[in-house]
Amino acid sequence: MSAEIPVLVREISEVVPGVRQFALARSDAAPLPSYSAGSHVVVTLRGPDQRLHRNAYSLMGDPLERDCYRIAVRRHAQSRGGSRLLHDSVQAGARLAISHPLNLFPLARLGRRHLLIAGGIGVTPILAHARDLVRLGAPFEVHYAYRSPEQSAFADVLEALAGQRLHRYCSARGERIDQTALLADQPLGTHLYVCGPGPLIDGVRAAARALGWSASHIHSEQFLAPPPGSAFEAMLARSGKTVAVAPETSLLEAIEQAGVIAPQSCRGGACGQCETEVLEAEGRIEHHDVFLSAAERASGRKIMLCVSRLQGRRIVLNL
Amino acid sequence: MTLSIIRSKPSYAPLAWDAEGRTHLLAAHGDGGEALLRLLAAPPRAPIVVRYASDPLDASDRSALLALAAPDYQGFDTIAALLDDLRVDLDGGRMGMRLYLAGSERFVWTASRMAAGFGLCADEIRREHCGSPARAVYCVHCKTIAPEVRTNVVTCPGCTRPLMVRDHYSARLAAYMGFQVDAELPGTVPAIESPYA
Amino acid sequence: MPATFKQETFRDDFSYRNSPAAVRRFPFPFADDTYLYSVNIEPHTAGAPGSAYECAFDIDEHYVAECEDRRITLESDPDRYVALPHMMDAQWDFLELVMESLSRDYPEHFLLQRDGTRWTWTNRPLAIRDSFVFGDAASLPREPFDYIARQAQGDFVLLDQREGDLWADAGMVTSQADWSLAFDAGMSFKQWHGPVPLAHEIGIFDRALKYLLALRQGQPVRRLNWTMTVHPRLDTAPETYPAWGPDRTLVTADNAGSLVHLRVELQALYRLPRSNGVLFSVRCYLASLDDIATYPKWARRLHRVLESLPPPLVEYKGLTRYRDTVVSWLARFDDGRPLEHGTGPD
Repeated sequence: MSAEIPVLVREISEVVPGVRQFALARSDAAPLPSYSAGSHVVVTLRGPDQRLHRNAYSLMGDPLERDCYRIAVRRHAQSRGGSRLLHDSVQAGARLAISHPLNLFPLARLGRRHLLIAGGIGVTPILAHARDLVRLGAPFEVHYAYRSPEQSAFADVLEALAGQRLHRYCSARGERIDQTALLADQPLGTHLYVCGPGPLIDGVRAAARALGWSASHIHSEQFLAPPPGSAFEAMLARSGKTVAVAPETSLLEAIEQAGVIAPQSCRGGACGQCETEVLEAEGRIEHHDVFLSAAERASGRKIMLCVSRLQGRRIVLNL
Repeated sequence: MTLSIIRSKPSYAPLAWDAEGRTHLLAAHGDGGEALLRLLAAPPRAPIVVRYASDPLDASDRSALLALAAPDYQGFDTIAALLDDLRVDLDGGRMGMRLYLAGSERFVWTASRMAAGFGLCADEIRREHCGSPARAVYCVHCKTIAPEVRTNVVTCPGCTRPLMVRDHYSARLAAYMGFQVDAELPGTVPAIESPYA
Repeated sequence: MPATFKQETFRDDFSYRNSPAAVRRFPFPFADDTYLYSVNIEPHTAGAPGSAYECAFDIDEHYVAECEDRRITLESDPDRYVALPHMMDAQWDFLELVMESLSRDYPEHFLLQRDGTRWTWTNRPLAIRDSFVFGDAASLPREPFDYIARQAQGDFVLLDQREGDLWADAGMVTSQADWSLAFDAGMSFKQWHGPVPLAHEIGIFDRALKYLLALRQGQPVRRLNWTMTVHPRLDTAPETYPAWGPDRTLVTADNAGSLVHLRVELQALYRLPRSNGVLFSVRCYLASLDDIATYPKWARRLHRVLESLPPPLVEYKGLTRYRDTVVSWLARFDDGRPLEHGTGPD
């Protein structure tokens, strides 16, 4: 597990209704680590009930800005608490902890052209990509879809960076990305990056595959919040503990609350670090990750602790 | 220097269509024409482009057969001319294309490197080594490449050292590594065999 | 931290010698009587004070002489340095990491002053002082990787991470144990490890690659590798094999103690921040058999390891001609009694 960096909130600004930008600086005022475009950090904060909340947020600022990191948080009404806490309870000066940056959504440096597609708050890593592509002098286009003009967070920043390379789509006005037209005529060596809601990502990936784009040219990032489910029990064979997993708590969180250290990193079902062997399952494993293969899921022998659950009574893990 | 089994020697499978590709570019030299003919016996319903350089030493003329089998066919007299054309094809190519290469190892990897320069990744390129097992050998001492080596030991055309031909392969150089076989005890050169003939 | 640096050579007259302190801190690699491949990675955290593991990039009494040996090698063969065009971000990552580490760990020798992107670097042992703009390669006398790798001990390879693999797309390699950067540049992880015998069969490289792809910023790791060299020669590249290859026939029972060296590589791996690449550093340590025999435990252990080494490894590590002579030479130190697990000299 990566050692956490203590930070404090230097500034909070409302970007559009429901989206806040937080500028985070190191508590000891030392420079923050540099990072690559597409990186995220996991922010840890303690709620009023002393429960720990951990959520991943893309770093959207300029990596040359070493004195602070900038993240944008959308307030989710159905949030399990993390984003609501950040909006409602955290003020300038508050102390939090963040992980070191981790990049699961990097730019393909050998790409000859880059096509960036952002939906809603998915614009945050895309913004970082655009900034880096400008710096590297590489050809690119950004296609940014949002619900309404009031919801077009950071469109002005993107415009300043990308100019005519930015294309906007406001769904309230009926504007939609024509995915087929966009993907059908790109030169060889183009890479596609998409970040946003699940359906957007699924749709773009499917359209690209249907047009023959190979997997190595399609990159996506989706911050999965661990979906809730029904309660179940997890028996940790090696540590001998039995843990009750509540409907709103992820399996990983329940294990951590019981004081057991489980391998983990992105907490969003993408990086593979929390993969754990399933010894027994009374019930059906609900896989919510994007890491395991279909065969691995079907085997019933593996589970990603951070987002997946059991629909049933009890699971026994090799932990 | 070790001569044991090496995992950096490329391995090949017979060419097969990638059904997920939207268009297909086939390029081959010499005996590689056989692999293309096999493919074209059952083509997918998609645009297919064939580029072929015949080997003047070949007995059979595959170019005639390929011209019949492929709607978009062009033949070339030399590998250099074929590669020049491939460069143009790749420059104008669109995402969704798959590239199929067949021929000598040196041809296949030289063409691969060109394709990589246009941003193609490994999952867009398929390769089959057809015909001569002769090897291109890079002399690690003087950096000269001997293009067609059939023996296990070869005299370097650049520095005249006797080079042992290893299985360690560089896709970038499209050549196997050669090092002076008798460096430790000059004159002790092993029996010359022709495993790549 | 060494107060003075030795004047010595790693070629020609081979005047290289280890002081007793250098021998004591030598990173002896064998914890057991037999040598087994394993991923054998551990966190690269600060080791025991004074040890080779204490600092991120170890500087020892051989620093100045080693940098000079590198300079000589590069002059005769510039292709020992390669940097493909897309690796510039990684070059700056490396420069920042090395300058920050050396100035932090050896403040009496190195100083890094920063004012935004205007940096000044002072290297007292090499009498270097340069001001430059971080991010502007033209403001340095050489490009960043070339510039700072000439001021650090050990070899360095910058790996690009893409397509689920790692690619050796830049390197400064002048003290390698017999592999060619000019040949291997651009290879993927399994390709450049191709020649290593046995390891592939037991899946070591699959596991190692998966592990390295997930390497995190702020969590570097390290491992040890080893071989043997005749004469304290740093440049044992394939390119110069005709120069050092014949040395393997020189070993006798009388000269083995001073001629034959245990060559240990302390390898470290860092995630690089801006490029998202991986730095692979290979720090080379040489100790003669006489040096090793200063500590009876080491001599006994080395005797047993060499005696039991599987033939493919003997061949791969280039020991064939003189292994038996060395084993006989070491035998006199081995009383056959059980030895404790561990690499320490006592």
